[in-house]
Amino acid sequence: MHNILSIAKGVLKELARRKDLYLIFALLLIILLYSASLSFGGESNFQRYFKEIGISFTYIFSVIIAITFASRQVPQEVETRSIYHILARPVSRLEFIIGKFLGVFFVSAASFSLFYAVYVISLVLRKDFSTPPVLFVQGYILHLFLLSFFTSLTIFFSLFLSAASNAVISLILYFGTNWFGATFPAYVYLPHPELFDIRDKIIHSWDAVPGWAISFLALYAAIYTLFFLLSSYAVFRSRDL
Amino acid sequence: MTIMKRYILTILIILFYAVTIPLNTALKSSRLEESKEPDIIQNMFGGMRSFVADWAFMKAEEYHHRGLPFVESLSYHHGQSTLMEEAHGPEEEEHHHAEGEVKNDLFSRIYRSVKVTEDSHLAPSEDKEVLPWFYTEVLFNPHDIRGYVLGGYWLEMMGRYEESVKFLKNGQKNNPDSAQICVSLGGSYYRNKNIEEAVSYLERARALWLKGAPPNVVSNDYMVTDRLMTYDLLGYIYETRGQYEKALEVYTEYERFGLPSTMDEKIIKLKNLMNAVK
Repeated sequence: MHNILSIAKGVLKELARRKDLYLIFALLLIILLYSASLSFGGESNFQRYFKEIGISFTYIFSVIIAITFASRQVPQEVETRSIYHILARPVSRLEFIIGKFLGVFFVSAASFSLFYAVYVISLVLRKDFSTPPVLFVQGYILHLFLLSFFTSLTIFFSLFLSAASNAVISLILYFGTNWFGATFPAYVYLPHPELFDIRDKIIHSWDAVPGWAISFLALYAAIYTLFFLLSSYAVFRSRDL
Repeated sequence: MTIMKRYILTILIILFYAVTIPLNTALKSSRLEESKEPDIIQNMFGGMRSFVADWAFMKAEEYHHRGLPFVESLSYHHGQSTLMEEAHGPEEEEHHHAEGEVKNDLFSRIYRSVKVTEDSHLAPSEDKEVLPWFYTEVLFNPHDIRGYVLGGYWLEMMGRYEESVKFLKNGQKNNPDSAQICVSLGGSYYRNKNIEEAVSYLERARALWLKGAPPNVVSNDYMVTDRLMTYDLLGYIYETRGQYEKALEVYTEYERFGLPSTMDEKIIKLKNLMNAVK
């Protein structure tokens, strides 16, 4: 456990060192301020439009952070040869994979929490209380499941692909499943990360998601995360480093 | 060799998705009523602007249905866009039924729990929420006549007459040969008692319909309705002004389009009236 946490801490330190988060956060603030000031046809204060822009960018930016961080973890360690130092210590390859996963998940979850808090505060400042608070909580929890799904998937891909192509493919998968989810051929046999996205319910102030569905989706995310991590381990173990 | 294999695999995956996404969008777009770009290849690769404009229209429809995705809302409305229907006449309540049975498998139940799957409409007080998408639609594709017609209708419905006319005039500037925009402007002026302007725009629309050149090649029910409205309203205005000859000319001209004429009754009535006046 100590080894796993040490590796995860290394990823967290990378977040502080790199400027990605600050840049994305500033961009989010600019987008929120800009969309709050928009007017069309002499009308302003569009609740749903603002909610949509805000939550979409909050989701997208946190996924970008998760995918870009996850995609470069393993290739970077191999390229800089620091992986030899790590594995020379009593660190198993499974611990290495789990440590990297936990680190990236914490990084993306922390970024998402910050973005989401700003988004919710901006709605409060606009006196927009149209969405039931429980939906915001559910939207937050389900997106954490999604981050866990994509972090593990991207780590798995990173064992085969370069960081850039991995990031592109993972992002295409994210946008593709979100936009076209159940319209893909043979969709029932494919993973459905779009089920973690309840933004339409939040934007249009629908009723809350039932508890059984949240529990099922938690299990769904856990199974896929575990599957991708174990697959990553199986591939990584057979690698001749 | 292994690196080569990886690159080939990567390229294949990217190609697969790169083809799937526009193809899927094109398939969805092809279900839209208006065939402003009948060539599917042009629809797929003719520029991202048109793609974003179509997406904005779908968002407007989605907002109108309180988050119900565009494609799903079509199944509730017999493949019709309700925004287009409303702008071209009252919506029929009997359309509010989804086609097909409600599935009860696990995936469908989860899907119904996390996504909007019920058909309902915005409350009248929330109608303005749709507006940003019409502006986005025409911003990305200034030749999207549907965006101007719907946006103009929506603004007028909200009581923003001046904004509506401004929006439609902007549409006319970008699409000077659009009969549909001219009819919308004519109708808008007529409803606001500016009869001279209304006649001017309706006459322009009449000439454009008669010419039948793009973008006025009538290809769907909404265009048929717009063309009928041009002749109907123009003839009616002439009639109320006592310009019976002109009104008769307008009504008779409509018969050229070879449709089962709805003008016959009006023509007979008008002829009787003219005889009585004589």
